[in-house]
Amino acid sequence: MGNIPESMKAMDRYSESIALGDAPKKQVFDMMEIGDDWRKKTIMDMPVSLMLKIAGNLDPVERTALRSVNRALKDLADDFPPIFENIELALDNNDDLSWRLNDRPRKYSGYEKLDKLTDLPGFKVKHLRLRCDNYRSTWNRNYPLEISLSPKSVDISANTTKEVIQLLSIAKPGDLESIRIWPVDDQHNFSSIFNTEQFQLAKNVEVISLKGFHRQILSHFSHLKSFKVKITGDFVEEGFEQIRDIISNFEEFETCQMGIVDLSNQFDIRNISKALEVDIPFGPLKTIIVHHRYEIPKTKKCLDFKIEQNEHRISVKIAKIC
Amino acid sequence: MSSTEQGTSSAAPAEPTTAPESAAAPEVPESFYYVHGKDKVVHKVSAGALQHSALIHGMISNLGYTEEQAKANPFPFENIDGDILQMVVDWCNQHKGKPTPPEDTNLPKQKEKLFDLVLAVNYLEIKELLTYCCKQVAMMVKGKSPEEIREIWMIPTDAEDEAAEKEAKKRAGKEAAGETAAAAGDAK
Repeated sequence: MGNIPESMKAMDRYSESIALGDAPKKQVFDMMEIGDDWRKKTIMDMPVSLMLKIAGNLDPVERTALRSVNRALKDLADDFPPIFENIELALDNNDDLSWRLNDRPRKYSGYEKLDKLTDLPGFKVKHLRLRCDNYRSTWNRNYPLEISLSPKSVDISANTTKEVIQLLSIAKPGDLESIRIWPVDDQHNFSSIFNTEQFQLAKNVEVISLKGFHRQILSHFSHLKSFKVKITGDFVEEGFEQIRDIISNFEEFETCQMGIVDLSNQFDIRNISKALEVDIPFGPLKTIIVHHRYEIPKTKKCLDFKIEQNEHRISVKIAKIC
Repeated sequence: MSSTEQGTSSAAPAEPTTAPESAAAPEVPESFYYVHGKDKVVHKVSAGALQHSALIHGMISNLGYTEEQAKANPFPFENIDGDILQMVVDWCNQHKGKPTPPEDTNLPKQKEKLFDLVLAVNYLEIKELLTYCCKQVAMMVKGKSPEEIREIWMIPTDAEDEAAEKEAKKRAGKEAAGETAAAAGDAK
């Protein structure tokens, strides 16, 4: 809780004098008497510490209503830091919005209450979960969404690339450090996500399902500290050395993890190990693990690789070592 | 529950009857203390029940009263209405030596009474009861609009507040002028 504002301090001195019964009677009389009638005690007669305790029982959305009651209650409501762990927003085809705060079970509908919450002075949300609830058809929206927030991280679940970009536009670039994109059914023009300002200013990215992965896509990741991708579809081991060479030029790079689902058996870890000059035992092995350290030319830095194949699943972990 | 009797804070109270306590007899004889509110009705309360109140518990510890002294000098809480103090005493007796439940549904429904109870409980420093009371006051306005909150909590608007303040100042000014005039008249 911050400093108690003057309007509340005055109220506190008054209420404490009543509560403790230690104020000169005349002073109390003056303050309580309106016209010829005794005023009934109200919540405003309570010390600020009590009012804060009472308001603390209301959830942050309900507390926003206190701000419009009177000046003292506005100050009281503003004494609660408006910093939230997460907000989950779900939009449907008609732009109808439902949302939840801090994983609480209560669901809110509409923009009005959200606006009141986000308008709180100093409002901050650390994590934003954005979902597109359209089961039958995709969005046809060609206008920007009305919501704008500044989270540190965003987690997007949508059906098309267009929806991803529109939802991503809710998160203002700048404070946004991490982006996670859940599997998108229609990945047409997926690279356009990489051209958004949000993506270009992010530091950490996770794409849960990326159909195809090639050097052009990887080149968009050059500014990232870390990335995690799950790749389905085209991925051949010939591209592996190219990946190594490209990543070795990423200045900000710290770690990455690639999960590859190779249902068509295109990927053979033995070919990679051969290219990397790493020996692996002959004969059938359920799990094959290849460790490799690559010295980045003209630097004292290395890339440390751990490649693991377990039937159709391949995991590649790369970390920069200084 | 404790029973009550009429008495005064200055005179030793007549023997008040005690509330039926729990069935199990305590091994050590329990000490009793006496409190009264604005209505001067004296309540006999066991030390165990009074432990809920940090304020009274502190007073007992510091004063080191014998039972006789305690009977002769009930703790006066002139700022607490009699019926409110009765509610507090009842609650302390009901929850004596027991873990407090997560909710208390026996709090007054009438808002003025509830507000008075909150102030009394806050003054007497009864932590658990204060938690219940504050929650109940908050639940009165759950999901309500600002206008509804203003009505339920009986809160004046800023304009009404300012008008009342102005009126009070005006009245004080008039009274002060009257007193000065009276004093001048006396001097003559």
